[in-house]
Amino acid sequence: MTGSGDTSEGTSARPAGGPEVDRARTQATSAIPPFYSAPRLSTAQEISAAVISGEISARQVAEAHLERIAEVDGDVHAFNEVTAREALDAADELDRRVALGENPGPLTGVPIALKDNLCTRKIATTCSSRILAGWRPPYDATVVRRVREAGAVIIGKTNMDEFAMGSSTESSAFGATLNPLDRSRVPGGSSGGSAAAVAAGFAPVALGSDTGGSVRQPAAMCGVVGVKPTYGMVSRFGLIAFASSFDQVGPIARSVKDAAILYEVIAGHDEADSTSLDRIAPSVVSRLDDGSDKIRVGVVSELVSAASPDVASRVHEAAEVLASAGSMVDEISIPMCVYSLSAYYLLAPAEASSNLSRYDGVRYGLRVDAPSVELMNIATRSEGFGAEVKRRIMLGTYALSAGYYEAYYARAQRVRTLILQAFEAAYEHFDVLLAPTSPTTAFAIGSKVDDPLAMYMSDACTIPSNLAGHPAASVPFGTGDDGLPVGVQVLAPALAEPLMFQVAAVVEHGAPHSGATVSSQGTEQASGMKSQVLR
Amino acid sequence: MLFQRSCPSARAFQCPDFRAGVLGANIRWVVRPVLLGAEPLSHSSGDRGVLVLHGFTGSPQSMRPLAERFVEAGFSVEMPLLPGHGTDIEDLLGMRWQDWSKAADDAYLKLAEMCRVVAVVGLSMGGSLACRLAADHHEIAGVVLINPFVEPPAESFREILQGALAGGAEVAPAVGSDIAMPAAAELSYPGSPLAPALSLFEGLDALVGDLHEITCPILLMTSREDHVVPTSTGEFLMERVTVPLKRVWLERSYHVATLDYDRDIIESEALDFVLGVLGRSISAERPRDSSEMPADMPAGGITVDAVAHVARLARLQLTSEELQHFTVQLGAVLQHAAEMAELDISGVDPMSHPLPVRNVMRPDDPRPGLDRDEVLSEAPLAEDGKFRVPRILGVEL
Repeated sequence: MTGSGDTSEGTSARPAGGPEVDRARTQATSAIPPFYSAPRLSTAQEISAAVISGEISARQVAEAHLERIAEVDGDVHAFNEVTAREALDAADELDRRVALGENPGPLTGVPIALKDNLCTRKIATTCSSRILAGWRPPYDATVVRRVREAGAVIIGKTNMDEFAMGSSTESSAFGATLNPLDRSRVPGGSSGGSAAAVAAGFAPVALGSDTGGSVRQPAAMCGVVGVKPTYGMVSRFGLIAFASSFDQVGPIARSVKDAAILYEVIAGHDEADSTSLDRIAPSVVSRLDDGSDKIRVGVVSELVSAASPDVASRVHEAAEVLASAGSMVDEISIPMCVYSLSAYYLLAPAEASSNLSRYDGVRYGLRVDAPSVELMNIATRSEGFGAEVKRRIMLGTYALSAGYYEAYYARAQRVRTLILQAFEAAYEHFDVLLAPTSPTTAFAIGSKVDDPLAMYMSDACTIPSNLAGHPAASVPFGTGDDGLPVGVQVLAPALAEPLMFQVAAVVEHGAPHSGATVSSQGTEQASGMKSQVLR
Repeated sequence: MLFQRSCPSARAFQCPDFRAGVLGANIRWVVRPVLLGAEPLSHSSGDRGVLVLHGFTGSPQSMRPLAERFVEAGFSVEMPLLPGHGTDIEDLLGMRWQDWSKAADDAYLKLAEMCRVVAVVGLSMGGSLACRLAADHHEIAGVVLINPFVEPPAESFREILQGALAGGAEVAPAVGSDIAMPAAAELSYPGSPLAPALSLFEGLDALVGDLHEITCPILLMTSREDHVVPTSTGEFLMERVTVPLKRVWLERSYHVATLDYDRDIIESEALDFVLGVLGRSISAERPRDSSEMPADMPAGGITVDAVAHVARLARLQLTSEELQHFTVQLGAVLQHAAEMAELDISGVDPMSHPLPVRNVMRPDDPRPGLDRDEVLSEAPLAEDGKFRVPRILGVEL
């Protein structure tokens, strides 16, 4: 909580320089075998296997990651709270079980960072808002329970745009998160803290939430993998609601495989969420080596046109990778896409205005005293919400208010239907679609803060999937002209996560070496390639 | 409309007549009691209105073809004859910016009374007046500016005019209608009265500071070659407004472009734009008799009053600064959302959810809920196992 003075409960658990961390440093450097000298850079899959086999203890893994956080997060500010004590306790318990010959699960000993809108019992859950600062939920979100049960070690709660409303993590009441790859840039948002934590090596995996692209867009900007599941595939119980018909929890990881492992852990029916799909989560890890032969891939021209030329080139190169792997790649125009932003920025705020009416200073969080209950409500909300949250609440209230409901809200709902139909029509000809994740690489901190419409535009390529309820995955694919990562998005029809992960793995496999600078010559070659690949 | 030699462009200083001081006394005016063709136009038809404003020393004649296109397209059109214009230059000598500005305001209010949504179109000083109206009335849905006069002339230039005025001159000479097309002519005064011109400049001084108040989209059409207002006027405006703006270059016309080679382009662009902001306005669907509805709601935009109303509904108290700020920002988002009006949604079902939402029941078996003390321990104030709140009854808001 750098830069915030009003959240004492949140800051107290931060281990900066505490005795726990000092101990972690000495142990991590002396006791860890060479291969794991930097376990923070290992994949979740490797860590879990090593902990279960006894090669390394869950405690050593946790301590090494806590050390890394203590060293670097003062600059990055990925975390609102680092749960060092809980993490070490959980790790010790896992080590005890492993010693007894148990296999706690596919994430055994794997540190995980959780977006601060996922309820964690007795651990502050703030949505990066003053109105919830220090609030400790009385229960765990279903996804939190599931990752615990799979053996994951919760290492901290990550910073985010306030109530997940934003695309840069700058609207956090506790100060912005910086992009660990270039600290003059934003990490994207709203799950910017989670994406930055994974990119910076604070945890191999994280959970975010994706309402209009909030998992995929920061993943793209931080050079990691981000997945939004089919709506209803992952329980929303305990995910603090922003826009209920869009919100979906999704994994962030450094590899498609880790994202797939985490997806399998969190997906599946939950009776506590009435919008949860009543079906068993599909196996996706088993599909990762299946290649993309004969798969029909459509490159969505409207979404490519929305991106800067360097980002568009990477999408075309990714298409070429798939074509080389035997996919049938073609361009497809979905003109209805262009209305996504307009529909979304009426519907999501409308739902938010309703969801956020619960913050009234009565049951949890902030209360600003006033002589009557109504004045107390007003004072609390006016003080507790930041500018972007107020903007969206008002936009939504306006769209739902008498006289405008039909013109704004109901019209946007119908446009949403048209967008869904347009995508369903596209999937009659294609198995998956390809698009940029973010129209640009990570933009400069402060550059869009006071221009909401420009900020909203950075969700242009991710929003269609949220409107349709379809799954989509962002895979890092090379860099832009500025040397920062570009994400390519694989979109799939509802429930087609197995195919989506399968294609994402091919894209990942064919991606240029991470960190490589793409020359202008490379860009020209790529655009020349377009005519071959995309007839 | 014609403001040739006394315009703020560098060209004005190069004019030999002007520099020679041929001002005032020795100029003879041909007095024309009534200028045929300069008559105002007032056409009532339906609830979408277009206000058309001519320029300094000009008359409705310069705007008539464009105004008639709006009439044909089914709009209500108001094209006033601005005070002191269209008769005799003597009538203009006593007129000031406040007079034209008030006349434009009155014409707007007259139109707004019978129309639900209004756009404003202006040429030259008519463009200045259109900006003034849009900055003052946020419910205006769109503004079309043709070679607008928005950049205030330099102080040095004003001093020259003031000097001439002090020397007894009343009028700077005009060189006739600034039109590239040989056969066309503008019905305008043969000179530019000095005192009214100086007051126009003061009007611009005040306008410049308020340009950021404009909340509606703008269509800006400027000539590549203009001997009246400097061609930098477009950039000057674009640097100061914060709203969506479409720029159209007029390649073959001079200042009075509405009568020049590009008049077809102007008419079709203006009609397109006005149809966009008025016709495609999504508030077109709103019930006109709703008592909840603020009366001043614009098309696609939002007024300060409406934002204040919404803030009250949302239980938010905004500072006046926040109020202004949010009005512009919400207006921009709503303007963008207005593009959805292009889509035919008849027969399309609304989608409230990606999945068919149905009631989900579970067996009615008792099971423990959340621990009361744990929940209450996180409340701002609790007492006797309950949330405690300030008094509810007997308090006036």
